[in-house]
Amino acid sequence: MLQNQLVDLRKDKPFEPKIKGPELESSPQKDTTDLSMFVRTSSDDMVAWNREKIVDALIRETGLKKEIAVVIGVEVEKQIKTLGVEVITSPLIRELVDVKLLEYGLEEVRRSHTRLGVPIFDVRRILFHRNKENANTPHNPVATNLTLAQNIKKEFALLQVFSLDVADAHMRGDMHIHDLGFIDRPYCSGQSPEFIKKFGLSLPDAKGIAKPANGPEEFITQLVKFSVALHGHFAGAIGWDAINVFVAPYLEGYGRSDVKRIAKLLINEFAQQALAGGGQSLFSDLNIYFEIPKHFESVQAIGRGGEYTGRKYGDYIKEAQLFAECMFEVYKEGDGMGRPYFFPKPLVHITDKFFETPDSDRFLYLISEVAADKGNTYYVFDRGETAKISECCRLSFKLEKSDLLDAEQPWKMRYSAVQNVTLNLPRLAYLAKGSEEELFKRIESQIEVAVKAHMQKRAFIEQLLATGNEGPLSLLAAQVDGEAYLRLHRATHLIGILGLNELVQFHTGSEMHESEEALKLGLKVIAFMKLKCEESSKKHKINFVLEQTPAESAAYRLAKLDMKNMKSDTERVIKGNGETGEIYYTNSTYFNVSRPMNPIDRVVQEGLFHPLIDAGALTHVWLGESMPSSSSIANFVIKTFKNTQNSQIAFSPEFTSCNSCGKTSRGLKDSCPSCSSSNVEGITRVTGYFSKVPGWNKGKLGELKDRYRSGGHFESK
Amino acid sequence: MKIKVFGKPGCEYCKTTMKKFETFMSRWNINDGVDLTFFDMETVDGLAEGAFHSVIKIPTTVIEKSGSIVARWDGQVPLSEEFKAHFGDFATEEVALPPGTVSVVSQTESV
Repeated sequence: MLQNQLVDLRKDKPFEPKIKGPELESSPQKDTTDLSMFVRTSSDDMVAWNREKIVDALIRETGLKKEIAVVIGVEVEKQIKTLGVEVITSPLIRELVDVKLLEYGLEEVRRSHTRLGVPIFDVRRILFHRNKENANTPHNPVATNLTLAQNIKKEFALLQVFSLDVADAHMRGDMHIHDLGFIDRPYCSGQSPEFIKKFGLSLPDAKGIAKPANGPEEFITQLVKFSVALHGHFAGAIGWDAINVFVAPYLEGYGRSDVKRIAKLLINEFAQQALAGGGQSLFSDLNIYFEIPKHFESVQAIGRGGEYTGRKYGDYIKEAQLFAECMFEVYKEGDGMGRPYFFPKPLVHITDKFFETPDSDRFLYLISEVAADKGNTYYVFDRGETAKISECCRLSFKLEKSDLLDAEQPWKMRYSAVQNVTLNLPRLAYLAKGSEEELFKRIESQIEVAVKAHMQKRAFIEQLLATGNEGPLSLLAAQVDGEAYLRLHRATHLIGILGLNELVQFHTGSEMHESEEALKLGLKVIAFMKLKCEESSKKHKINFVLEQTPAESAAYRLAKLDMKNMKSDTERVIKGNGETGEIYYTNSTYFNVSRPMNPIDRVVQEGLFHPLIDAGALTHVWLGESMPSSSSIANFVIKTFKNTQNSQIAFSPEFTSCNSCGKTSRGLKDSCPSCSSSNVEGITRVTGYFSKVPGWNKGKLGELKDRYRSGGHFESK
Repeated sequence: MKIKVFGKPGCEYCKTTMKKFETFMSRWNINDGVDLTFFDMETVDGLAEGAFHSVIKIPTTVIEKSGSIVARWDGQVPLSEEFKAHFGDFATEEVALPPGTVSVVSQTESV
């Protein structure tokens, strides 16, 4: 039949409709810049119809056999002829070819041939309305570029990077593959400032190269620029290890006022990188130690010009401490409107050695003053021999013994997570229908799909890295110290947790705070997941670890999907307000956020899960508008470190910022208490970072309304 | 009364701890009312129960009576002088508390 069609067509007089839009290429193009220019030609660019272009495209893009491609081309040509149009667009031709492929059952070919894009209606919506998937994304032309590009990359990921079963698992909501729109990047990274100090700044495509800095200001400039570059190569946070320790050699001989000026420069440079990476603020984390960490004490210090100073980092403790103190003085002042700095986030590591270090009580008081007043301080608890680089909302890279050997050459300490895939735990409970055996079987099975997703993402990243210096990840492939910047062998693959409380509630009838049985089931689920991660790590020889996913959008997305598809089950446990649509699943292993709990009880009980979650965990203490005294916060921190296994805590006050008079007040209010203007916006932590409440999605707004503010349990300032 | 010993296969101190309790219970003919269980922290149940009790080091031993923890030893093999007293209700012979013995419970910091 196909052959006959070919013969018939040859007898027909060829017709020549005009094609509007990009020409279907007849020869392969390696340079995407040329393809991009065709796409940008004006709509008045008309080229003559040529059926061969359909054939060539099919062969080039999908590997389809020529004889079949010819038939498709012929049939599409006939179809277009019957339309009787004089002008036709190349996107429409492509769609007609895709339909023809479907008619012939060539679905795989169609998936390789299909066009990715966004409907006009959606483009208009994106241009005019804010994207609230991530509260860190503002609304401006750079950000809308990001959103549009992300849409295409997301489609590409689901069609070309992930297999059908994995893509479907994400689309159905069995699990959530994070940052699909950043498919061509790893997830987050943590690294040492020593890399910049030693090697200076040499960015791909940069017109100038900077030698190692000769002073702290120059170093900070290079650090921030490198952070911006990294921000364009990772989906999430950029973390810097022991920032005050590594800045210290530059500060020898500096007085307090100069050190504070430099601390202010550091924080403001990070804070004001508003247009980094598509209009997003630079999601940055600075790890701080009051003592010199054991693993850096005897390490030779690098100073001006990238040269060794002849001293060790242990010799710079005074400078390091002064810089840390000055940083927190800046945080205490807040930004120009007295608001808390959203970024960079300061993570103070509380260790056994911290408490043995002279004046640590004074520093603890200072950072607790900041925690009470502005909420910036993150307290990271490194008990025993644990050392971590922390960042993102709670991600941390636990340093193994081999990493501590790298500490002798701190620039080598570069860690990253490649991807996060979060399991929809409540849904697994719904499907298990009360059977514990079935529940764990389903968890295991879903982890296997998540692992598959990780392997596929890793393979894609490896392909991109293999393009080396000419490829899109040249910054990460560059071997400045003999090793690619992105040390894939040390990268982690995150299995995220969402809605454990709802899983337990559905399965047992009680939430985790309501019974020991419920809590123990929650612990059993996480213990099971941890062991499965370890099994998968051994099997695939890459590192799978559990993470408490921040789930800013996932907690809402998966809740919505379940309400739509499994309403009767979901209604029994969903949190938030079903009438307004402000629904959500409880984040990760958290207890119900609305539960009136003494904060120490919350820290203790949520902390039971933390040792099982290798990639990081956090407990929030929501303060609302109350202002605890610094000493009550400091005492709380000491108790948490000494008497619990909690990994990290953060205190979150709430603020109202007035756009009319510029004043910032405590608590979330509808109008400014100073000038009565209603032109105000609320500020507090959304997941692990501060942001403006108007930019939050509905699920997070629902959670915000439910949060139990425990500030009343502290002694007031 | 429940005695929970947390450990891992291959941990010699963990084996010693279990042996110690087994020997003690056998010597004092303690059978009813005392439940001695080894929780292997390389298994799901062991790891979960260990997390519930904030077990970080092994061996860790926890003694529970009527749902409350009355004694605990972390990262060490308990001394018999220290745990003997808790068996008072269950031993067939009277278990006298040696002079000068300090209850482990009083040394445990409360959260």
